[in-house]
Amino acid sequence: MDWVLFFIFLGTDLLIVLLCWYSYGKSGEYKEGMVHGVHIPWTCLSRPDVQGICQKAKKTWKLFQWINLVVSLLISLLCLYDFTVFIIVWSVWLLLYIAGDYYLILAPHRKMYRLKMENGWLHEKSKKIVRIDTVVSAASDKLALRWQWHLPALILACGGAYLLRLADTEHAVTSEEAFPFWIMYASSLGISVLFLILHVGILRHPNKVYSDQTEINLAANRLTKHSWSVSLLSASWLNVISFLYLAVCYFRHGPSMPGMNYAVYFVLIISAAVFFLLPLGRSVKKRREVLAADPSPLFIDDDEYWKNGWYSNPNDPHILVQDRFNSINFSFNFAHTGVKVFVGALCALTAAIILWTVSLVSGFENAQVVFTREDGVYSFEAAGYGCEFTRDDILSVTLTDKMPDDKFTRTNGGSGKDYQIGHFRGKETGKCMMFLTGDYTDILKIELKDMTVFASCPEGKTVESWYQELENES
Amino acid sequence: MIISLDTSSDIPIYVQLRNQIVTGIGKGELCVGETLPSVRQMAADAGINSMTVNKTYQILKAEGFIEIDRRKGARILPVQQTEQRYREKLESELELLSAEACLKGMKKDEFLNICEQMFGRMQPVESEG
Repeated sequence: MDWVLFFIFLGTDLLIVLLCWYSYGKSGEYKEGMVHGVHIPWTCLSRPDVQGICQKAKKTWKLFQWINLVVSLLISLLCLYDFTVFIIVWSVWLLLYIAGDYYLILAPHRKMYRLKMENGWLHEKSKKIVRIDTVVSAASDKLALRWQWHLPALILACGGAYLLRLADTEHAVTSEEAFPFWIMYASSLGISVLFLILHVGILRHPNKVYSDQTEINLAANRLTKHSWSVSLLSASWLNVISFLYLAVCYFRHGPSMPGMNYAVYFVLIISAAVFFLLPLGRSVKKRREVLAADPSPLFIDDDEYWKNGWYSNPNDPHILVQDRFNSINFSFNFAHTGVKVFVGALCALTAAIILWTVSLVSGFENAQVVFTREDGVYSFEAAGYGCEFTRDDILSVTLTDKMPDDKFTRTNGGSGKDYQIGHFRGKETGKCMMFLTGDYTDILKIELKDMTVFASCPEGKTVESWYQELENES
Repeated sequence: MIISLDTSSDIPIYVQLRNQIVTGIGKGELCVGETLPSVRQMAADAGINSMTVNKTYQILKAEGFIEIDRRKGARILPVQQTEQRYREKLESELELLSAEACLKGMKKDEFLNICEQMFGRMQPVESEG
């Protein structure tokens, strides 16, 4: 399991670093009349001060990415040693990496803007100009795939919920066991709905005029909108297909489905990510070729609204605009209060998820099994998982020195080197709950009417006292 | 056709839009039968209110430059015979322009030469489709 996690995180880290490197590594090249997101005359490109900023930024960016490639590899190795330490270090690294990326993108941009202001390379008049290509605007509906193609996928996803319900009844799955599958269902449906909303947003996004040649404008806008619509649609469909596959497996096997099913699900999810990125990546190169056909492109010098590194133009009613540093990406217009609130909420949500994940994992690592008896009701509790039963529910109580020779699958809970906590299913044992910490030398096995409970803790004497208490009662 | 609107100009946006579309038709940059963007799309691309675009289209329709069909949208109409009403409007505008040119010291030949040059640039065309 540790090696699986190692490879999953290593792959994720490589993907994050390489994507950032590739996506933002070329903002120092002169494109659409800009260097580092600042419009400057092409005749000034060879100036030593301009070259100085570009070369320094390129060198620092390359060094930063190489360092982070190595650091991410070393951090991934940590999960073989201690998962809690790893997840905390990894979260901190990710935040620092994102912050570092932003700094290295914004610092040369601001320097270049200062240089531009000092030298007066301004096109003040063009700032107030709005251009529309009538042919592109008239053909706007035909530039991308229709958003309605998402609807069958969403209907199928709803069918997946019906399958989950059937499976819950068929395998008598408890709500705790079913919870992770419903979470996966909600995530899958949420992603598809989000992609649908993004698709509609892309279709409504204003077309841009790059050149006085209509063919170039048409081709560039079509490439952007078409590639986004293909990406969103294919990723949405693959996302739904992968969930449906999981729902069918859940229906056939119940919560304790073979690991192979999860592996196929994982591959399908990865392919959704690949199909999302592939059309976007391909369109970047093609778009560059299309725009290169016009040696004197049209541009609007609205650098003033980008001077801080983000877009803030109160006169622009658009919420999303093309990003300065990555032409395939979009940026928010921070002049709108709604955008500030939305981005703030998004940051808070991300921080909350990171904190919750860290506390969840550390909760397992430091879990203590608590056994109580109150008004004839016994209860075990550890890391937020618990079970309650009365004396009448107990069929037998045994104290053993090892777990039964059975194949257990975790359905809702956590398992690591030193702990097994939560809901499990054994091939022979059936439904069970485990509250196991320590080295499992003394294990309390309680057979109840509807499931089996296994409990242990690092202190053998404590387990023995639990056994005595239950044995005396029954 | 590329339309350029100057948001800092004293001329209202709907007038700029109207003038540029008419000039575009005259120069042949907008062909007869060609479809103009929908009101919503034009407004979205220009970042202006759709009421502004709608106002322009209604003016162009009233002037006989475009027709508006519920399904096909706004389309450029063929060149029409000069109406008496238009002739009066043209004479009135030319009177003002002639007065301004005269007061600024421009000679008649020079004024007519500019008029001829401008008129020569106009080559309205039928749609290829």
